[in-house]
Amino acid sequence: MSGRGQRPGAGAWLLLFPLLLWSLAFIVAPTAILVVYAFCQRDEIGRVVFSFTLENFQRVLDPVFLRIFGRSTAYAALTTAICLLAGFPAAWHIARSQPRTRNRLIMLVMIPFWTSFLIRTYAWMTILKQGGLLNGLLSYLGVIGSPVEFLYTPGAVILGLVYAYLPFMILPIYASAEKVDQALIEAAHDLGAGPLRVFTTVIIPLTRPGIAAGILLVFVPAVGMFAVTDLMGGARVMLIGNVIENQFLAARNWPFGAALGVAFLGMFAVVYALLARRAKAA
Amino acid sequence: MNMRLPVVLLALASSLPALQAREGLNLFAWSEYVPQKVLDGFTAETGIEVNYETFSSNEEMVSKLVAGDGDYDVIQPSDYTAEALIKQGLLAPLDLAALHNLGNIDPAYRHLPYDPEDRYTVPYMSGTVGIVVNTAVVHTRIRSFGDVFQPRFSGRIVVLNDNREIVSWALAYLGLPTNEINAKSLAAARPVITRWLKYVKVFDSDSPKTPLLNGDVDIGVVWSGEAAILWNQDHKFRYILPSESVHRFIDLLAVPVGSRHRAAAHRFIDYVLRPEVSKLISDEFPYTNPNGAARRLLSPAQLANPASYPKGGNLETFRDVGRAASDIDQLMTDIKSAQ
Amino acid sequence: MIEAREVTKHFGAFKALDGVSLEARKGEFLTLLGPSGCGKTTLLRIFAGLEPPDSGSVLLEGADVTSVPAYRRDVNQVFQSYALFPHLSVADNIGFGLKMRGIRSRERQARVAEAVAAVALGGMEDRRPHQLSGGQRQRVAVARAIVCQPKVLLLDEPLSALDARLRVGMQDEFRRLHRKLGLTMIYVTHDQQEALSMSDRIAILNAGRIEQVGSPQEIYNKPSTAFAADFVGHANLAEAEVLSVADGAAVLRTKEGIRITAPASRVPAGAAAVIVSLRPEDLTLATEAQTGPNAFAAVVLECAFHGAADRVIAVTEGGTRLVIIAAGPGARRAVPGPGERITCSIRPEDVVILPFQPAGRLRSPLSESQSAIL
Repeated sequence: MSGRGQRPGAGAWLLLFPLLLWSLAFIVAPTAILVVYAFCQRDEIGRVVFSFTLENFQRVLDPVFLRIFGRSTAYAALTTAICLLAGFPAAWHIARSQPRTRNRLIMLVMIPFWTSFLIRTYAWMTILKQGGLLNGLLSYLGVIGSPVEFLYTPGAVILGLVYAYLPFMILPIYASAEKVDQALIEAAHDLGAGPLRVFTTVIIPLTRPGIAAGILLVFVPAVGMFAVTDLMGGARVMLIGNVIENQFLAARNWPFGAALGVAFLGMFAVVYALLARRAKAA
Repeated sequence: MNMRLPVVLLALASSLPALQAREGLNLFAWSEYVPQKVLDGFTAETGIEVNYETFSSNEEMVSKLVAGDGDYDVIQPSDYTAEALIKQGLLAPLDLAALHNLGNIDPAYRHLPYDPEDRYTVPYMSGTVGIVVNTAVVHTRIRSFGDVFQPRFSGRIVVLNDNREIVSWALAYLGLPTNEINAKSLAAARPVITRWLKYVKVFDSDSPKTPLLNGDVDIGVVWSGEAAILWNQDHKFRYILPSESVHRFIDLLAVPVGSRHRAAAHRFIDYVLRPEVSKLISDEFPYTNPNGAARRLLSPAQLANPASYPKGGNLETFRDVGRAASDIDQLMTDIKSAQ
Repeated sequence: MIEAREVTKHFGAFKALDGVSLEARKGEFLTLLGPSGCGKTTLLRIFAGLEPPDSGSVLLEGADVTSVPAYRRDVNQVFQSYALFPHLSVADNIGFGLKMRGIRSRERQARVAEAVAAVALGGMEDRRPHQLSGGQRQRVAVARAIVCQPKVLLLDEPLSALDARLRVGMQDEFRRLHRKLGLTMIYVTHDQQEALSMSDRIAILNAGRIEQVGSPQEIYNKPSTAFAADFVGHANLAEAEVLSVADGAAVLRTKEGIRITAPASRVPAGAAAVIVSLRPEDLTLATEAQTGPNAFAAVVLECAFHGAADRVIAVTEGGTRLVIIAAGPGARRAVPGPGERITCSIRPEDVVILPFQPAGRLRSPLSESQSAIL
């Protein structure tokens, strides 16, 4: 138990300093500004006026925004679920391959990051558009008679979101799965657990940190995403990210945008705290 | 005009100003609106480096302008935005003596209501918002907004993802003045927009030509520059000025009060006013060129593009609506989220 | 009870098992002994159902279970690494198999408590594996495997991770458990000492084949191959030609020219060449010159004091290295120093004759053995 509970020495603080500075500059400060703005007003041209008001938060509770919050959460939840269902087997398979194959497969997961996300999204648009590759292939195969509308549909939005965030599900689960000792799985088999029971009683509990990280890494950015809804969904579906974006770029209402952001942040903080408490209790 | 994505800008704009060298001339303009050739030519002649930072809506530009004091030397507001900036004292009066090429501007683009004395702004490009029809698919005659937003075009329509535009079309359709935004006019517009938006397949301000070219939609309400490019690609894309009312916009060049390189700013504006330079802009972005001398250099084909140089039309410019911008957004958010 | 028939297993180009047939009888303690890579663990895993054989079959109580997956075989294993579930408490680890078999909570608790008591882990039920010592983890692993009352208990080098003292204690524990539960146990080890002291029978594996199966005494005293002779204990091995067989005595000559006399009955009829095996502890050592059959003059190279005995390495005139274990009451032992001339001798009836094998299959005859006798 030595070392645990000790206070970091001067050396540790020195090493931590860049991280502290970084979080202060890029996490704490912007959040603080956001919180302050959320209680401010604005002038004619959209400048923030520092006089206190609760009006912005009252507006956040408008059913319209609550509905958008709900829809955003639903989209993100569906995205997360699909990412989990598709990502877990992939991550597990990669983690269980030979080291050489494993590195290659991980490389394949990472390669998309080498190009801009927007370019990749445009590539999807080229595939899904009416005269696009997918329609061409399907009509060549005789599966469809006339072009199907793939692009600019909710399905396309979900596809785009899943595509964008799948690696963020795979990588943390992979990191957890890689550490699972094969002997544990064999031991479970040996003790009478069939494949499904092994999965639920051994694999899931042991990869839970990775699953939790993956869910967080997918769900949180997916709720706030607006580029995919604009590009793949034709901006027809309004998600919370689009609403906040509009407050800053079109409606000249930074304080309200900030209030939406703060409400959003608060919601996550509460959910996260509840989950953390449950995890601690378990 | 707005051909790129707000996302890029958001991501880049948040990091670039801090990193970028602040020497030379800082130009803050619409994305894909200033040809690289023009910037290179200016630098070659004057030795002044140009930092080109982009935005994709007037509101975005204003937010950043008021937030980052003195970071920009030349900005590119549209008419109604320039009016608001002048009202707020955010634009510096131009040193007209330094602008030798002012005379090239077509008289039709001088002394307009947003800057009656031409003290603050110089026109850069002008354009309209109109209807594009893929005549290979749509055979009926389309003349008005009312003709576009019909059940039979449901799922075949692209419109600008611009709330102010959409509201103004509905007001025009109702015969109401497009610049009077208040609770009453918005309430009147609401059912019209609610009905219209059901038919819309794609909202896109950045590149509304794309779904038209891809065949994902057949009809749209778009910037004239986009329509002109479509026409150049294929004459089946017809540009029509809606009979109710046409939004004409004039994008301007202006110098914000905080500019620290005013002499360079004036040299740049004067350079852009040269006919041969202005022609380069028309070559790449086929909007309506307000530079009379430059227009004389254009080819007959360029001048014959019906989207670049439309005939007739009930032209109207936007006026600043101030706080009502937020009411417009609220209305559109309401309608869109209810669908 | 459990039986492998003609089992062959490849891993890529590597042949781990080559037509192995072996049966563990009901209630017996059978040890699979061999160097690493000999296939003993693979055979155990095939018994467990964790690895399918390429060909051959596995029978459990006479029924073919070759294609029955591990989780439906009434066989449990104690893993080398223990493979305790880190996310479960000691009690839940032990109760895991019962739970998988759908045994009700009440009964499960009782049986877990019984198993906890059997391995003396009372009071540890709520701990997690990482809070236990190596020996305690070992016992959890054993309890987890026996609580299901399997038909066969498999143990894969279960003591290799423990230190020497704990190891001896656990060996006794396993014997006790075996007697108490009457379980059929198959035990894998590379430690011949462990094998000799614990087993009812030992199967020696080498390069994917079974070299010999027998009781510890048979294995030790009557090795049937050079490998078996050398792997269990230590053997001074030499190729020899048969010079004559007469009057109940065979005379052999090793390559280096040493003449050895052995009982004729041990030499296979008609064999021209054999392998001679001389156990180090069967060789006696004298500091004065001696003559007679099976007495070889040699020079001491090294001598090491091992407490109960001395281990002497000497070289004969012909250049043959011999390992000699000189036992006896310590004070009366004459310990020669390096360079001293000695005579070593062996009684003819202690000479072990093995069938001839080409040199390639001999494991470096007359070399130092890795498995020290003490």
